[in-house]
Amino acid sequence: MSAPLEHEEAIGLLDAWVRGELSQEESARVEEHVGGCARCEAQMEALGDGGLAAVMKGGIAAQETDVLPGVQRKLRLRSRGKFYGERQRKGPSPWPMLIGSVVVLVGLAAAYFLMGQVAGTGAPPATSTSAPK
Amino acid sequence: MPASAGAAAASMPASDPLEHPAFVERLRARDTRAFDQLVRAYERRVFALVVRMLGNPAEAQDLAQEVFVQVFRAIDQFRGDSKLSTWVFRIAVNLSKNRALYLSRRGGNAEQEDAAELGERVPLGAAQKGTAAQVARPDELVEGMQVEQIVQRAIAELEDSFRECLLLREVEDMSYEEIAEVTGLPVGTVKSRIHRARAQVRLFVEARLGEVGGKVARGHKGGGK
Ligand SMILES: [Zn+2]
Repeated sequence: MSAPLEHEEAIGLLDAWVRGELSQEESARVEEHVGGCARCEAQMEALGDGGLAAVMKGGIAAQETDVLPGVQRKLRLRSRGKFYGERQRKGPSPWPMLIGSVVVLVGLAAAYFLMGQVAGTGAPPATSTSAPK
Repeated sequence: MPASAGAAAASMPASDPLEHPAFVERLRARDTRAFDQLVRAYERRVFALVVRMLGNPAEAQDLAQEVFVQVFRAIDQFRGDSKLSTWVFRIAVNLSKNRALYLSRRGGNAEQEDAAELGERVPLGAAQKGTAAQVARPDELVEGMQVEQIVQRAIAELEDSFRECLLLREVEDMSYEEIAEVTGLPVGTVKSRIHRARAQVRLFVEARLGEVGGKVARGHKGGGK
């Protein structure tokens, strides 16, 4: 890299630098200068001057920033209830209902076959031969 | 960089209870109450950063959640050589960059191209001589388009690495040293990127203000290139 740029030299290149019109080497020289020059830093502060920050921060406060419930939900789902599972019990969960239904169905099926075997001493219904595997 | 990062973390007063090693231990033990506390402490700042990185509140809400999910999962990888908050923001920046890339590949970028064109019309000279007031006043309306919206477009135009430095500075009020820690860049590079990003934002905003003003003056809309 060639000699460090003086402030005045760097200033002359700033327009082109911001537009991305400098060669890589020139650009690197400007960046090296700007990164270490107190006068450039002061100018940079003036460019920001709080106004840009105000605009950039604007509108955020009013937006939805309540992130926690979504985080808890994702962690609960992805850990299959290992984390944040206690909140799941508060609301209606589909699992007890689902497991209950399966148990009842299995019970009904078992009762059907048992009754079929007790009552059906004659020819068994065609379905009873194909249903159990 | 690692040396200065360590020094910054070491010299930092341990007054913030969330930066206390005992708190980090609770996180490592997956203490959900400690984790809730962490999320509540940083959710606004993380959201503010990612919504500006992505420019889309719905995506930002989802991504902000993912940031904390990632924090929860990866807390064992936090070695305590930087502030916890710095580590959280590093995750936020990385996930934002990935998501922005994904979104830009998925969606069309015709609007961005249009915006890039606009940026090339007005000389920066005017921008640098300082009409900060134009950028500074959110209440100033131009043809129904708020300056804030124009600034958002301008930010969207920046390269990722410039955008993230600018946002960490302007939205998160971080010092250059903190930004260097979050991004892994040298402090000098952080300064020069912020400088250039600010100038580019101003260039874009003034180009757009000039463009709209010109249209109004000529009494027609759209068309002219
Ligand atoms: Zn200088």
